[in-house]
Amino acid sequence: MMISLEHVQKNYQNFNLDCSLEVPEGCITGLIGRNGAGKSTTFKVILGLIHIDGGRAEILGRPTDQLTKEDREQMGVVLADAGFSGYLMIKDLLPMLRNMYHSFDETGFVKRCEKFHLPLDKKIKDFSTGMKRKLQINAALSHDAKLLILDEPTAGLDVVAREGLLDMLREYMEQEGRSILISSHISTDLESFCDDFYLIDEGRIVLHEETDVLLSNYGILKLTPEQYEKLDKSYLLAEKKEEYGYRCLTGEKQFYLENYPDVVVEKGGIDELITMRERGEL
Amino acid sequence: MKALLIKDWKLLAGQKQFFGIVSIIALGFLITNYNPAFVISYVTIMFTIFTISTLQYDDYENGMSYLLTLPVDRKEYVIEKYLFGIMSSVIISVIMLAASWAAVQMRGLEADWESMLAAMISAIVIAIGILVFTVPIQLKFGAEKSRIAWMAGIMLAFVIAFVGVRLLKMSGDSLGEIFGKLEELSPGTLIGGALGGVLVLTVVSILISIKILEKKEF
Repeated sequence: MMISLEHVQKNYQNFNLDCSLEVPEGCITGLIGRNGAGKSTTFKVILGLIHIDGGRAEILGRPTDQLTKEDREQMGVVLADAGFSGYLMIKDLLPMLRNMYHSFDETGFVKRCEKFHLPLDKKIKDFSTGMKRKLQINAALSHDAKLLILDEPTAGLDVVAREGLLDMLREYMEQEGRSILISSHISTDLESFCDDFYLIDEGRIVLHEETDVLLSNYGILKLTPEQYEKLDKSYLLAEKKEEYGYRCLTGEKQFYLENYPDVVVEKGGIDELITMRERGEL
Repeated sequence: MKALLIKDWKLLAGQKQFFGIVSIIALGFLITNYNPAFVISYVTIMFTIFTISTLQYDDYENGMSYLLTLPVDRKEYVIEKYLFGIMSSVIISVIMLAASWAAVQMRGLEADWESMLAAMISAIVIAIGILVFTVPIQLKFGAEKSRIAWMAGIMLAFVIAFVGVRLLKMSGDSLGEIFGKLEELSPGTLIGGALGGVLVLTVVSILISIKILEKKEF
C-alpha cells in the first residue's frame, strides 16, 4: 500500500479530522470535498507536516513521522498554498535539485520548463499562480518518484494547460508500481483521470467509490411530490426538497430508469455528490 | 546538506542590492577611516545577520512546508543554518581582513595586526552569538513575532545583568575587580575562553532549535 490512513485524528479548536483512506500501488485516487472539508489537512498528515493526535498514518509502508530522506526521494509533491522560495530563480534550483535527488533528470526538467514557458532567470515570486503550479509539477515529475501527492495541481491553469498536465500524469502512470493521490476542485479533471475517489466532509470520509461506478450507476432523480410518494426509496443516498418537488441522489440509476420511466434521471457526477452532500443527507 | 547550502548561497547571491550597499559603506570606511578594525566587525556582523534572513526567505509564502516535503531532514535543516551562518561569518571576516590590509598598504598607514586580528575574532564571536540567539527565536516565533521576542529577550538580558550586578555587590566583589582579573589573563586564554563559551552556546542553541523545528507544524 502506498498510502494508508487508519482513523487518523487531528484536533483543532474548530475542526476535527478523523480520516481513513488507502492508495494502492498502480492507482490514481482522488480526494474531493468542499473548501475547508479537510483535504489540505489530510495532505499535511500524509506528508508529515503536522503531528497526528490518534490513529495510524503510513506512507510507502513507514509511519509519516518517521519518513527518511530516501523515502521523500520517492515522492513528488504539489501543495496548494506553498512552493519553492519566491526569492530563488529556476536556474538556482537546478544545482539544488541535482544535489537533493539521486535520480534528478535535469534535461527533462529544463525541457519541461521550456514547454511550460517557465523562464529560468526570473524570480519565482514574480511568477503567476499557474506558473508556480507548473514549476512544482515539473519538479515532482523530474526525479523518478513512485508516488505523487498533488493538492490542487490544476489550480490556476487554463483548460489547455490542465489537459496537458493530465496527459503528462497519465504518461507518468504508464510505468508500473506508481501511484497518485490528487485533489482538485475541478471535478471533470478527476472524473476523467481517477480510478477511485474519497469524498471528505467536515473532516470525515463520507464516501469511497470507484469512478466508473460513480459515472455509470449514480444519478440524480428529479421528482414531483406525487412521484416521490410512490417511489421505492431503498436506493436513495440523499434527498433534498426543491420548489418543484424533490431532488434525490441514487447509486442505482438503472433501477429507477427501468421501473420509473416517467422520472427524470440526470447523470450523477462528483459535483452532484458534493452538492447533495452540502444540501441534503448522504 | 549540500543542496541546502547551495539554496542559501543562491538566496544570498540574489540580494545584490544588499551587497552593493554594504560594499559601498565598507569601501568608504576603508578609504576614510584610520581604524580598519571597525570595518571588519561591521561587515562581518551585517553579513551574518543577513544569512539569518534566509530563514525568512525559506518561509516566504509558506515555503517551509513545501521545503519539508523535499528530501530535507528537519535536523539537517537546522544544522545547515548554523553551519551556513558560521561559514559565512568566517569567510567574510577573512575577506575583510585582507581588504583592510590592502587598504592600509595602499594608504601607507602602519598596519596594526593585533587590533585587526582581535577585531576579526571578536566579530566572529559576536556574529555567532547573534546566530545562537536569533535562529531558535525565528524558528519558534516566525519573522514577525520574533521581533517582539527579541525585544523581550533584550529586556530580560538587562534584568539579568542588573540583578547579577546587584548580587555581585552584595557578595562583596565589584565589576571592576572582575574585569581586572580578566585583564590579567593572556589574550590566548581570553580568546580560547570566548570561543569555548561560544561553542557550548552554539551546541545548546542547535539542540533547542532542532527540538523547536521537530515540534513545529506547517
